[in-house]
Amino acid sequence: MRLLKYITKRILVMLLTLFVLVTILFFLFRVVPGDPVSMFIDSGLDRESQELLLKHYGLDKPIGQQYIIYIKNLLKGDFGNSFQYGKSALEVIAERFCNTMILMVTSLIIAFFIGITAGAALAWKRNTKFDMIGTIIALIVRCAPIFWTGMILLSIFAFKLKILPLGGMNTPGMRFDNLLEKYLNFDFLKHLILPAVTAALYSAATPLLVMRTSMLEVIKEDYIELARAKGLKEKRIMRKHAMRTALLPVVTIFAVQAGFAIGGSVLIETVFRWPGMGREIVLAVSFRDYPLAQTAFLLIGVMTALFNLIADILYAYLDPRVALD
Amino acid sequence: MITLNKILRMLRNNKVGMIGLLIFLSFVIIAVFADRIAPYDPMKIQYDSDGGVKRLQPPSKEHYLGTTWMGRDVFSQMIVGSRIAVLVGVISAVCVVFIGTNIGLIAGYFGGTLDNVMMRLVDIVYGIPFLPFALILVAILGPGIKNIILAIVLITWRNSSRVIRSQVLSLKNRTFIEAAKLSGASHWRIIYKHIAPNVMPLSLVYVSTTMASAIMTESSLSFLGFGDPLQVSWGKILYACYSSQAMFKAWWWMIPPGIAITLLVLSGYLMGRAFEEIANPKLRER
Amino acid sequence: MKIKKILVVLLVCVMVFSIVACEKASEPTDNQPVQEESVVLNEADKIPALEMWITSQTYDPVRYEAGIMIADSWKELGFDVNITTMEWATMSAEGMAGHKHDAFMIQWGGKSERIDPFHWLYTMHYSGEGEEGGYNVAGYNNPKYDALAEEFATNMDTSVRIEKSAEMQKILASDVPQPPIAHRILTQVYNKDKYDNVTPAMGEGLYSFWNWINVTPKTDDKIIKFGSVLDIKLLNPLTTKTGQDIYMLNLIYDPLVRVDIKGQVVPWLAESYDVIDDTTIDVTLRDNVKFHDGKPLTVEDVKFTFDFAKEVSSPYYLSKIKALDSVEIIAENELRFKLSEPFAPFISNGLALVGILPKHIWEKEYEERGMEGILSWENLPTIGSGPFMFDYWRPNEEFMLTSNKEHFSAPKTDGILRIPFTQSFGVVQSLKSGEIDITGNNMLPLELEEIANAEHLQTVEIADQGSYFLHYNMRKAPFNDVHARRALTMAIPKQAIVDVVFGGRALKAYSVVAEINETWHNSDIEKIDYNMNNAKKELEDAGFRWDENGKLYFPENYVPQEYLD
Repeated sequence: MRLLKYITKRILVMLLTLFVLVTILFFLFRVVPGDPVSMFIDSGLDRESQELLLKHYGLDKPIGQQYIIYIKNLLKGDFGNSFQYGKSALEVIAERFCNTMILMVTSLIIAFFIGITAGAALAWKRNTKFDMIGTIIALIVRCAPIFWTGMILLSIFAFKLKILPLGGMNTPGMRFDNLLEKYLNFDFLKHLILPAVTAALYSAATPLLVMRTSMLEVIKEDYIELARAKGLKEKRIMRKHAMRTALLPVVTIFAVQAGFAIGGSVLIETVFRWPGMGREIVLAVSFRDYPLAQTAFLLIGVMTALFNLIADILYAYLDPRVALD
Repeated sequence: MITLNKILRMLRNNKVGMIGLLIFLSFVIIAVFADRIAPYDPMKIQYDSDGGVKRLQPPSKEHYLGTTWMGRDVFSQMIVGSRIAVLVGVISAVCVVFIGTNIGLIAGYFGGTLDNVMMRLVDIVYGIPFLPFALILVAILGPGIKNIILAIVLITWRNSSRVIRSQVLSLKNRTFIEAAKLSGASHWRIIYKHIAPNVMPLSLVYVSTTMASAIMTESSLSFLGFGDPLQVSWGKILYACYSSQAMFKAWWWMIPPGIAITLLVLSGYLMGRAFEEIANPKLRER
Repeated sequence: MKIKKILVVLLVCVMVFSIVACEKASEPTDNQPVQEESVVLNEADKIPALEMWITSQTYDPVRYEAGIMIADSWKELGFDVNITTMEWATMSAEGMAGHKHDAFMIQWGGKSERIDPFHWLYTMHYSGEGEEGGYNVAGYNNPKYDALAEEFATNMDTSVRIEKSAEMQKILASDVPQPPIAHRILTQVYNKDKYDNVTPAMGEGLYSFWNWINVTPKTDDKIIKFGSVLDIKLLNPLTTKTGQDIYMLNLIYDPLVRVDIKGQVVPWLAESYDVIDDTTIDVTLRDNVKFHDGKPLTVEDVKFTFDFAKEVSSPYYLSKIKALDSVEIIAENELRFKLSEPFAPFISNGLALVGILPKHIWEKEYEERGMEGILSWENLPTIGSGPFMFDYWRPNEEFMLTSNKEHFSAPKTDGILRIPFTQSFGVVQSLKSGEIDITGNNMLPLELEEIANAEHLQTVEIADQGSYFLHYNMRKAPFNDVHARRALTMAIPKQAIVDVVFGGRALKAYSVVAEINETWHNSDIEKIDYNMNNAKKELEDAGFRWDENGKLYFPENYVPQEYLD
């Protein structure tokens, strides 16, 4: 019961967060100079045409009224039309969102796989050179800017060795008849490798260090000694007994890491020209395409909040004391 | 009670922390004397004797780290770029921890509605995706150091305030606080004289890690093209290298800024780790 | 307590460093040797610092680098200059529309409708266009020039207009309200083993309509693959606003007339047209033209297009046909256009840009969608009457046009496959490997190096008729003084900008009408170029003064002179 109450509370906070987010964004965009029309001023639209366009976008109304209309539409599930593409902002973003999610999920899986196995291995060989060097490498990768790592990998694998593409998501000119075909082919996979690995290297360090620490705790426990005394093989003890117990704290950071990864995707997408949401935000902001930027940001916000929620619930579930405050 | 002296003494015995401090100090020294060290004006286009622009020259005696596509000296850019990194790192860290610690102290000590409101605020800020928000804010307010720092501060204070608050909660009922209360000390005196020194090591952890993440954020935003256009920063060097399409041809232009960022960020994390061990003695055994 | 000492030193260092950094920001540039004897100058006479607005390197490295170079040169002359970086959307709103700037650069594109220099000479310099939101960004307000401009805008006789335009160019070149700096040399690439007759046109390069009509396949592969980093967004001709959309719509829809490769108006859907008087034009429609869906194109469709554009307030079309009063059908294949006032470029900049819409489609959609709906309609499949027909479009992947073999000017190819790229590097690699045949990208020097030894690739060059302009603001001192403007212009290192910033791939500009526009360009004008001594002399002669630090002051008892005469 207490847990349920806690979860309801968190969901309310999440909704409040999203509402605040939407409001901040709405006003941020509209108080600064520059509107979507002024972007195209050089293409020769005269004053009257500019005003017609502004009217068409609904930007001629007072800002308070615009806000009320926006919120009303939002509650109806209408995110508005993108100024650039004419069509619904949600429609434009939906595809980008899929692209981002595929990249992020792949990279997180790789990251946690690397993090957990390497973390366990380092802890198992604690206080050896192997442990020390491993930890240092993990720290350095964690501290290196993700876009720089990406640039280096691009130079090596795409430019020098020419075994992987330079960027993008598909070879230009590919035809796809449906969504599944678009993502399930070798060409897509080839494009996915570099960005996913770059993102994974960066996000692997945290689970690695957490796993290492947690393993160190577990190893000290009696039952490991007991298993040893039973004469079980070292590898088996590590896999079957120690790792399983040590995994718990790593699982809880997964959600937090996922939130980070989505926020950070803008860098990866820029370096690898991945047609995802992050890159679309940068473009939408510079084109003053408010509905598109707001929708993209809101989606990222929802994802972040959702992962935070999962993290909170996991914590509460694993450690009932949390729900008390 | 933990005092500053004690923290420092403990830091001296912490190898990891000392390495971090040394790296950080060397960057500070480079930043302070950047003008003396840099052989050229980092933004000045270099011409050869025929009057042609020295485009993409590999490292040489004249240009230790070669030149950029626009003929600028990479080594000088690296040196002068350390200023922005150190400046952004230190200023944001101090601001963030100052705000975060105070909110944590006040919310934790007074409790009640005040605490509730502050913690809901923290919850809301936690829901804001950091990099996209910073990016939009800087894009809208205009690219520049001030706005980058503002964006960092507006979001990052959440981390320290939450942790410091729970530390305060556990300290609040300790006997020495009770004693101070009984002796008639005012609330503010208790907060800043008795509680604050005890959360100090924890604050220092956040100073170091915030510094690291602020430097990373600055270089990320610069790389996305939202850095201060008139100042040289490492992220901007990387951006220029990437966008000129010369990155495959000029390793001397691409490699050094990344190493510098990595080192400086690393120094923050190392110091943070050291302070963490001081704040939480249990960690030391590991 | 060694560490504590270190920490204290560190703290002091950081503080000193912060102070130094702050100081440096406000510190004036290096002092110049004095040439004047020390006179006591009134601080109130000091010329206020000039604000130079530049874009970030991301947005446009040209404006960024050139802006800094010009600012440095102005400082050398004795002006204080503050450089401010702005996002283009902000700069556009504050400067282009708000006219709150001191000086900033922009690149005015050389679209085909600017071959008739109405935009350069009238829209950008006529005093009536100087209010907020108008394109006379500098606020040029010269009565002598205005008289010429009015004649230029309303006289339907081209030879008179050319004469006026020459005179106007001459005045602008000496008055320099907003000097042009350089024209890019557009450099594009195609596969010469597979295609022939590639014809870049003034202003638009290989994007030009005429290129797509003329390009001839040499092999059996007759679908030309076109790569670009720019993508199309919305194919609704009523609300379109980006160049890429307009280029594509231009292939799908036919206007009544087109501007040919030399800038001459040629009849297109019109068989012929007749200028009856200053405000009346009669148009005879070509026979047997069909829309892509097989329905015939009639005078009804033409009249509908113009009436409809007005009825739904189409932002794009209305800006082209502002002067139009009414369209009447006067015979089975004849229409009469009545203008509300004489407007000389109506045919070249109006009729030539309005693609004729099929009435049967748009009328029906309008009924269903209403006014707001029709303006944001996706308009797919796009049905026009032009030489290319819409086939399919997968955003971010492919855009396919097939040739309309029944068109009166049918293309030689079987179609155009347009492939968007996310980076120009990809375009270069695909050109090399033969995946694409042609690009609309303007190649950068590094990219040209990359394709230098690809035997099958041919580079085509054509100077842009658009230019980079530096917009002054004559509403403010010292830009309201012609001598100050001339001196500032003389301090623009044009050659260095061309060499360093453009890597040599640009031409210095002196007249607002580009040299490549042979019909309209006037080369007999004052060519103000970089010369610091002349710049100093210009200021000295006008009475400007320098203090012992080399800073500039207004003349004594100063009355600014706005124009040379």
